[in-house]
Amino acid sequence: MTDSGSRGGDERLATGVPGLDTVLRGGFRKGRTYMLMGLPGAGKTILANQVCYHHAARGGRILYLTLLAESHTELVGNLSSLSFFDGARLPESISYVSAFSVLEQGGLDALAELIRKEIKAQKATLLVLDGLVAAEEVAPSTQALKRFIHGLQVVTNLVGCTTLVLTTGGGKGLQAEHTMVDGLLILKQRTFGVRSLRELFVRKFRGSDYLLGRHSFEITKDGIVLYPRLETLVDLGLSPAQSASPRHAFGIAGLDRMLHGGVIPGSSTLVLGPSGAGKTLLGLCFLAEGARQGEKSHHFAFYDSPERMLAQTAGVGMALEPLIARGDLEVSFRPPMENLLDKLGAQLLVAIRERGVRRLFVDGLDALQKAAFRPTRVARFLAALVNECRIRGVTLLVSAETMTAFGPQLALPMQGTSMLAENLLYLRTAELNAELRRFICILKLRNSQYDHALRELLITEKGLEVGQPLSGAEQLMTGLARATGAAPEHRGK
Amino acid sequence: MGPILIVDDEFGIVEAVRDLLSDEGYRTVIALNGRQAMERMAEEPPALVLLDYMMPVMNGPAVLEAMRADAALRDVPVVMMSASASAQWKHLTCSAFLPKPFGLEQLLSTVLRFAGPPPAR
Repeated sequence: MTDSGSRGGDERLATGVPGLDTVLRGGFRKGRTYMLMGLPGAGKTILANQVCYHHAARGGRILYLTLLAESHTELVGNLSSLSFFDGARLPESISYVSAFSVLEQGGLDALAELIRKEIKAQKATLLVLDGLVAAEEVAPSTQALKRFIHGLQVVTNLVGCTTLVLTTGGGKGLQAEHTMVDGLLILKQRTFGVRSLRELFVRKFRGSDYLLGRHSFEITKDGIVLYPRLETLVDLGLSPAQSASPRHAFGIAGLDRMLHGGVIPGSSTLVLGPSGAGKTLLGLCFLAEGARQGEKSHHFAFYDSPERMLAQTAGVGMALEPLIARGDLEVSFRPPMENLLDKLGAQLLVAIRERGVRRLFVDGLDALQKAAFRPTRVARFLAALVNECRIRGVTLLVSAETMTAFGPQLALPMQGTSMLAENLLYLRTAELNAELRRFICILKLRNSQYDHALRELLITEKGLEVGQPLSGAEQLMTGLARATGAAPEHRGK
Repeated sequence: MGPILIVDDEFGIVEAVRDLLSDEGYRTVIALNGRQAMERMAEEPPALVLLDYMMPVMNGPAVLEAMRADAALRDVPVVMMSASASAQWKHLTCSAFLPKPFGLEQLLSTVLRFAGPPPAR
C-alpha cells in the first residue's frame, strides 16, 4: 500500500495588480476558482488581463476563453494601450479562444468539454472564462448552471489551473450560483454627486483571510491600481516605537519653551486656526527643524505647490532648498480636487514605511474630508494614520482650518478630531486696538506639562517668533479682544 | 482490459475524473455509493477501482472488505481516495491511497501504475 501524497498547501498565484495581492493576502489560491462580478465598464476584463500578463511574465500559461460575441482582435486592440500588455506573449503564453459558437451549438456540456481539453492542450495554469452571463442564458435550468460551475471547479482544481470567471451577474444581482466558487470579488462604480468612485470588495475567499470592506481603485494607463483601506492595513500587533530623542522641537524657541522642549516623538498634533493664522509655516518650521537634525521630514501638501511654498518660506527667512536637496525634507503636492482618500492613505504609508519619514505634516485636514466620499470615514482614517505613526515612531502634524476667523466659539472641523490628536495647538487672529494680532496657545499636550499662556505669534522676515504672553487684554480666544487698561505687551520676546 | 470504476458520492468529482480519464483513452464506469459499486462490479470486473472512503449506503472500507471476500474481485487493485488522512487506514488492504485534493498528474500516474496504459485508439 502506498500514499500518493496530498497536493494541499496554500500556494498563491500573485495577481500583480497593485494593492490586490495585499487585499488577498498574497493572491489567488492556486487551482481555485474565483468569480469577478461587475456591471459592464466595472473593470473586470482589464483586471483579468492584468493578472494574465503578470502570470505570463512569470512563466505561466493562460487560456483566455470568451463566451461573448466580441472579437479577440477588438479585445486585444483595447488592451494594447495599457502598459502591462505584451504582444510578444501571444499566442505562446496567452491564448485567446472564442467559445461563443461551441456554447451556442452544444450548450454547457460542449463548453465543459472544450474547457477541459483546451486546458490540457495549452497546459494552462490560469483560465479566464469571460462572459459567464452567456452560459447563464443558454443553461436550461439554474441547476444545470450550478452543475456546470461545480464541474468546472472540480476539473480546474484537478488539473491545478487557477480560474477566473467574469460575469455581469445578468442584472439579477447575486445569485446562489455565483457564490459556489472559492472566491467572489465584486467591482462597482458608484456616483456621489458629480464624482464617481470605483470600488472592489471581496465577498468571499475560501481558505484564507483577506482585507474586509470596500477598497477603492483607479483604472490607469498601467491598468488597475487598488488602494486597500488604510484602516485595514495598520498593524495593531506592533508596540509603539521608542524614540532616541525625548522631544521633537519646532525650532521656534518661544514655542519650544511652551512645549517644554517640543512634542513627544510618535505623537499626533492638530494645528488649528483660521486661514492666514500661520499653520502651514508653523508646520514647515517643524519639518525644517527635524530635517536639520537629520530626521527625514515630509510635507504632504494640498494647497501650496512646492514652488509656491518655497517662495512663501523664503519670504520669512526660511531656506528649505538645501534641506530638500540633501533629501532630509521631502515635499509632495496634490491639488485638493479629485483625490481618493485611500490613494492618499497609500501614499502616506509609502512615506512612512518605505522612505522612513520621521516627521510628517499633513496640510490640511479639509482636503482629506474632500477626498472622502463618505465623510464619516475621515475620523476612522485619521485614527488609523495616528496609530500607524505611533507604532512607527513618526511624529504627525495635521493642520486644520477653523470655520470662523472671529467669534466666540471654537468650532472644530470634525467630530472626534480632538480625541484623535494627542496635542492641540491653536492659532488665532484677534483684533486688538484696531490691529490684527496673531497668537498661539496650547489647548492640550498629552502626558506633558506645558505653558498655558496665550502668546503672540509673529511672522517676520527672519522667521516665526513666539513672544511674551499677551497681557493687557482679555477675551482673546473670541477673536474680539478687549484691552484691560494698560496697553498690551507687544511684539517680540 | 476491464473498465476503471470511479466510486464517489460527490457527482462533480466522479464526472470530472470520468471525463479526464476518458480523454486519456480509458474506459470508465461510475458509481455514487458502495452498493452501486458492487452492482457495477458484478456486471463486469474492473481493471481498477478508485474508491472514496466516506460514502452513504456502503462506505469504502465496506466495499473493500466485500471485494476481498469475493474470489472474482479479490485481486482487483483498489485506490482509496479521501480528504482525511488517517493512521487507521494502514490496516486496509487497498493498493494505494490518493489523498484529496489530488492533481491530474497524481491521478494519471496512479491509474497508469495499477491499470497500465490506456488501450491504443
